[in-house]
Amino acid sequence: MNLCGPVIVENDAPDTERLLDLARAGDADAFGELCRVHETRLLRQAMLLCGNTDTAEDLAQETLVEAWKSVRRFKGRCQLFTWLCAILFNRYRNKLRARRPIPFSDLMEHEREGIEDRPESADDSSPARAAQEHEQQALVRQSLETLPRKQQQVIYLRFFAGESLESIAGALGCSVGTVKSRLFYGMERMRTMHLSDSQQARKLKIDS
Amino acid sequence: MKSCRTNRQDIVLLAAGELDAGKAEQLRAHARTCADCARYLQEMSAISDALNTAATEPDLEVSVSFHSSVLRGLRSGEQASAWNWFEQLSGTEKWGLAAACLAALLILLSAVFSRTSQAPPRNVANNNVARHVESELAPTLSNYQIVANRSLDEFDGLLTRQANRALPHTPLYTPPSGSAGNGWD
Repeated sequence: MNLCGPVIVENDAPDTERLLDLARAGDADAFGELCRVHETRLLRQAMLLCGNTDTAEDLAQETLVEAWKSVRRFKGRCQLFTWLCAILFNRYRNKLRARRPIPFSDLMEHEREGIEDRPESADDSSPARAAQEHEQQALVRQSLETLPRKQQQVIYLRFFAGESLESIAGALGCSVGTVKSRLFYGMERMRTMHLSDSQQARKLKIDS
Repeated sequence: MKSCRTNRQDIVLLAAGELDAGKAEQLRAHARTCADCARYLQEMSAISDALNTAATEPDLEVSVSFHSSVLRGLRSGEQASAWNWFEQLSGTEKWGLAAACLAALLILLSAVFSRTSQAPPRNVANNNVARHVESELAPTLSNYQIVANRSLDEFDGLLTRQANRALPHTPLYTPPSGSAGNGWD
């Protein structure tokens, strides 16, 4: 596996390349076509991050406009969608910092709604399991939120956007080795937090 | 096999599904005989599974007005300028850039000041120039008056320098050609 050499990722479709060339030359309609291809998936990614439909739409639109403004800097070292996700993540982080009182995990209203709206099934254990899963996901998000930005960015792009390490390295302009290192330290930190939470829960159980 | 501590990065990559097949098999075989690595792999797999579950994309479609809003944004948004680039930086990066600019400014200022302190004082330099010019002054009464009015010491110095200057040898008196005597004859 490539550790620090130049990052090579499979290119976008030839049509994407042509549209990108036109967009770099200032053709807004060409970039609009690219937006049409990626906007639904990007909106879903925004929803995963912020958990609120209106905020997600704003975030996705802002991301596409920002990508248009800096499309000349996109050198094709990663998939266009990976690059869009990297911009989306940075915008989300900046938004979050601007409105600090709203925690990442509290914004996941769609999950709560999903669980509350779920009909009572024949299986009695289903609501309990759903609640447990929800709790687990909230914990994951909380611990993810506390990571340093660069580690959080790599974990988001790997697990949420589902990008390869090579593509992430291309989008972030660093080596695959650096991406692996950030992934390792990020997940290691999440594990440590998870262990300390479990120990605390066990201690509470014993005390009670 | 490497020591168990150094296996940890590979175990994380294995849990994230990013380790190549050969290495992954080797590591799984090791984990079957090593309790520490097996536990670490189990914990990392749990984190990885939780992340994958949390990352399940919601079933969501863009609204009817979404694309037209994006197009409006594209048409009104200018393409990258230096200011756009600066705006896109995160808060930390902006502060880092500002700190770097400040440091560069300080280095520039200190370089300018150190050069100024090494140079001779301005008035000394001017005096040297003035002295040089004055030594070249024609020995006329008006020039002497100007220098004497400024300082008698300077005037004294000027006279001394002019007296010491190697003047071309010109006889004070040249007898007219053809006369052999001193003209009194």
